[in-house]
Amino acid sequence: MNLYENLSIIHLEDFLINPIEWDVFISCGSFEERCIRSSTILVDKKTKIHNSIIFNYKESDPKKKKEKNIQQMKKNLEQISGNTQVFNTESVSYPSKGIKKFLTFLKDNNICLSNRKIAIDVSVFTKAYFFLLFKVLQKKFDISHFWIVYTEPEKYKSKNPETGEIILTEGLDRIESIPGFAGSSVYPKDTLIVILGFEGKRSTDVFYSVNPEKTYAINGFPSYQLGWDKISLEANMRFLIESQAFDSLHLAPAIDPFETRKVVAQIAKEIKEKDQNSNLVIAPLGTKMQALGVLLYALQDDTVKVIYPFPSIYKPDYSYKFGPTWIFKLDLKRLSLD
Amino acid sequence: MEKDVKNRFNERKPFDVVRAEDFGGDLYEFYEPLENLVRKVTGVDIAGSRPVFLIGGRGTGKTMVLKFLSLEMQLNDFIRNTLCEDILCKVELTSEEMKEFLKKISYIGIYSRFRTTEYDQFKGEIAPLFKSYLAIKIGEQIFDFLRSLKASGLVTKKQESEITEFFFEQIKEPESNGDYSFDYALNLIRNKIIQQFDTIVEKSAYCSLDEIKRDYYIPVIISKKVVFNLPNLIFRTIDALRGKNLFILLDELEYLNDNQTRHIGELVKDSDETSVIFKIGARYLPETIFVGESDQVLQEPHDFRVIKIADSLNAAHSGKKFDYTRLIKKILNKRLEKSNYFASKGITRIEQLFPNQSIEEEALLLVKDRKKHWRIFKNYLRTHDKSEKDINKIIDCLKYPENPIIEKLNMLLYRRGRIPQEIKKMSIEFLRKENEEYSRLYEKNAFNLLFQLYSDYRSSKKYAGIDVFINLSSGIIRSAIEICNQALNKAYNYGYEPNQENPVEVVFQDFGARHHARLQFDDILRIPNNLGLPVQEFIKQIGTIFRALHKDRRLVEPEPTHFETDYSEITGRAKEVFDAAIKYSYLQKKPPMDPKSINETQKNDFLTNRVFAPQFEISYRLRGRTPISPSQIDRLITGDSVRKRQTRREILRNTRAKRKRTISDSQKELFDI
Repeated sequence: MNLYENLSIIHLEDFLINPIEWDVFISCGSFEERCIRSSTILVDKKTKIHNSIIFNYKESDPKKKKEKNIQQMKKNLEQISGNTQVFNTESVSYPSKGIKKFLTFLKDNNICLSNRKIAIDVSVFTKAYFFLLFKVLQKKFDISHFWIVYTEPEKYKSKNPETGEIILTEGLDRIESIPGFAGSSVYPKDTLIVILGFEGKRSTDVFYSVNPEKTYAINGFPSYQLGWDKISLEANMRFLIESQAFDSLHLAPAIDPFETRKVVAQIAKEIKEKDQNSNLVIAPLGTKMQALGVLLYALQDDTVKVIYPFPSIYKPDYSYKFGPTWIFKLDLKRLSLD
Repeated sequence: MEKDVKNRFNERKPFDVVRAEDFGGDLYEFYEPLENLVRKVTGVDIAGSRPVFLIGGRGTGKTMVLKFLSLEMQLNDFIRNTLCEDILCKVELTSEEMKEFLKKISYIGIYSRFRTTEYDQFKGEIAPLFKSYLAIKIGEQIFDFLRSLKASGLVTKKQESEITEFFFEQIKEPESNGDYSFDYALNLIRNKIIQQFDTIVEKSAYCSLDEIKRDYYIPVIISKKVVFNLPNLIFRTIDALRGKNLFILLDELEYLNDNQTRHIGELVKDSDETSVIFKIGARYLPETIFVGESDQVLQEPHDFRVIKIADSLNAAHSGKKFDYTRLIKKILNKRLEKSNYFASKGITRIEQLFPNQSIEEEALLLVKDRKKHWRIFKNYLRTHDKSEKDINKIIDCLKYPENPIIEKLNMLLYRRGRIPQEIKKMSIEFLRKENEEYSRLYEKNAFNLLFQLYSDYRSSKKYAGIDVFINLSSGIIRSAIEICNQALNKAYNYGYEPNQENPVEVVFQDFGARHHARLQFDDILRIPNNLGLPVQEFIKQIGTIFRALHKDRRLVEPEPTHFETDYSEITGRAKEVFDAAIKYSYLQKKPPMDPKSINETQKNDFLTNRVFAPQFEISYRLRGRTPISPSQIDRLITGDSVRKRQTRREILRNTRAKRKRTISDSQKELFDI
């Protein structure tokens, strides 16, 4: 099946019907079962990889769930890779430290990323980490072509028994701009775009923390599964009312980063036309694919600030099993010409 | 001005807009300055010549206070009062108008926020650049003001050159090209220096400082000269500004880290005897504000004054003071008056929408000629071996259907051992205003008896009436506005049509109060540094204890809404959580009460923020005190669910035992008499 850059999103199994060889495959292990899925498919399809790197966050793992998953990923990748390494990075809360450590790791292990065919499985990377990872790949190694792999969860697990609200994280550690995406603060006013997720409290937190002049919201539609778009709207009701973002609600497909990028670009254009003296702040609280859409936009526009509410706790039983695994190809250079 | 609140003001929903950010230049039309009220209560002049730390949580109005001090707001006020009622009709002033305006003011206020997303990245190796960045942002606002002053013709070319040249010396700018204009300076700041900082911040995420230095130019700014010497020079050089001060209004200090706060401490200390005065808004006051990197700390009142807004407004609301109530009503009435929709319905006062209800009216409305409270009392008498004949006799003495609160008080007195005939006599005398003791008991217990009555009828207490909303707001102005908004919106959802004879129904008013309480309770989770969950859990434990005490039929303590404890004995994790609850005003300190005996040490009194009253269905008034020991506090915070439950029971048991002792003492006294 053809994979058109910056356009098609297809099942990984279908894509691998034609054999492919990657120089570097970067993935991440976690408590979530879905982190193993892509490596299983790659083994099934006998894909060749030179270097496989598995990020291992420095988080406590009392039930040894993460350790078990990473061992399985390693076992899988060792079957198809010349070299498989687990990279012990920093805590999920400190992406800058983690990525600086990653650069040292690459140097120490003589792994060169420039001019290489690189695939990244972003399924369980936290948003802040993969944002910075992409930035580094682009700015430090001048890489503009990537294959992106993503496995959906079958469903999200934790629900508040009283409200039915889906809880993926708990508490708030801090709200900060994602390192490398501090954007511009040249104007005294901010305009905020929030990509809605299931946890409405986090969008309210972001809204009151940024205190913007004007707020836009993007909801994931079509959603991964029927009705999930309504869940996120209901969960974000307070935010939508208090920020008056209901009047500026846009839609973008939950699975499509390219469409999300287009919607963000369109809103950004509208903001700049209406009020030139405003910084643009984006909070990607929705799906990973929508976050990727924000990332694609932010990589082209250095003035955009991307912020994120770092939670106190990521629920260990965040998601359940796995859904389909997708692949698509990015060409950042061509994207900038759009 | 590209946007103003009039665009956002909804005629049908006049309480919808609450954030200072939404008001633009129209603050005066929709809000009330707090300056005079705060001065009256605290004795501190916000606009005085001393540095001030303005402390208050979200919605207390600290941003409003700072914005009222800003040049923009002063200018709008001047235009509205002197030149043109609609401030949008005039934006630029003539030279004469500007002179007249400057004559009226003693300071120039420049407002800015420590935006969470702006200063957070100055950490690690690039942390020292914060000082230069802050100075350049202050410089930007100064030049923005100077540019408008120049447009009014009040600055000569020579003055402009002198000021700009001085600034360039402080920023080590080699590329002035001989252009010493304000425009050039502003352009340089915005399009070069700030953008250079942005680049450095971006690179610091994945590069070391040495790598950054190798590839990029790092701006060098003599920050103190920009912050202090530049304004001094301006006020010395430009005639129209001679003798004035610069108010640097910095909001949201809480977003700065410790090192950055130290720099603010240094600036405040160094501002002494300069023309610069800092007015700083913060959600909470840091325990100590160090002066730069030294061990020296800022001392209050020597170096600065503190104004805690919610506490000040609560103080303006305590006892028989009505200043806070008046202030809130004024703000709400302003919005009603602005709405043509409500004006056309003849509604211009907030009481017309949310009328106040007396306790007696509320009780009558609840009982509606039903007898459930008597049935419960009869059962009580039966369990105390009274015959049906005796029961009827007792009830005959205690009943007074015109006021169920009197009936409940009579029942309480009976439970406390008074004789029915004596109670009847007392209540009759009370109705004739001839019994002081009964009157005192009525005054003390009526509100809690109403709660009991609700409990008898298995109904929830209704929180309605504007005075109740103001009480619930607990010194947080925005809360009062938001409750009104929630109540009105709910009523609209059910087809409400406002008019003079048709206030918002009690059930919708109650919804507003409860919904707001729920939202505020959820907001506790927003406390950063992983403290949100434990603080919320602790508040829940305290609320549950008060709720149980409210249901107590012997009325251990009427309206228990605060507790006393020996704060100095709370330690470890419990202290961390307890302090966070205070810091974010979810727990409020109450002025300590005198010890009841000389053997007692003076303890601290705390109350959960009154906004939670509907969440726990307790009183919003400050009455009954419950003792909770530091070890109990520790268990309520750090214990598991079983231990927490045991501790709650222990507290309730101890409080009831204390009451029994008190009653038996008072009976002894009665006997002695």
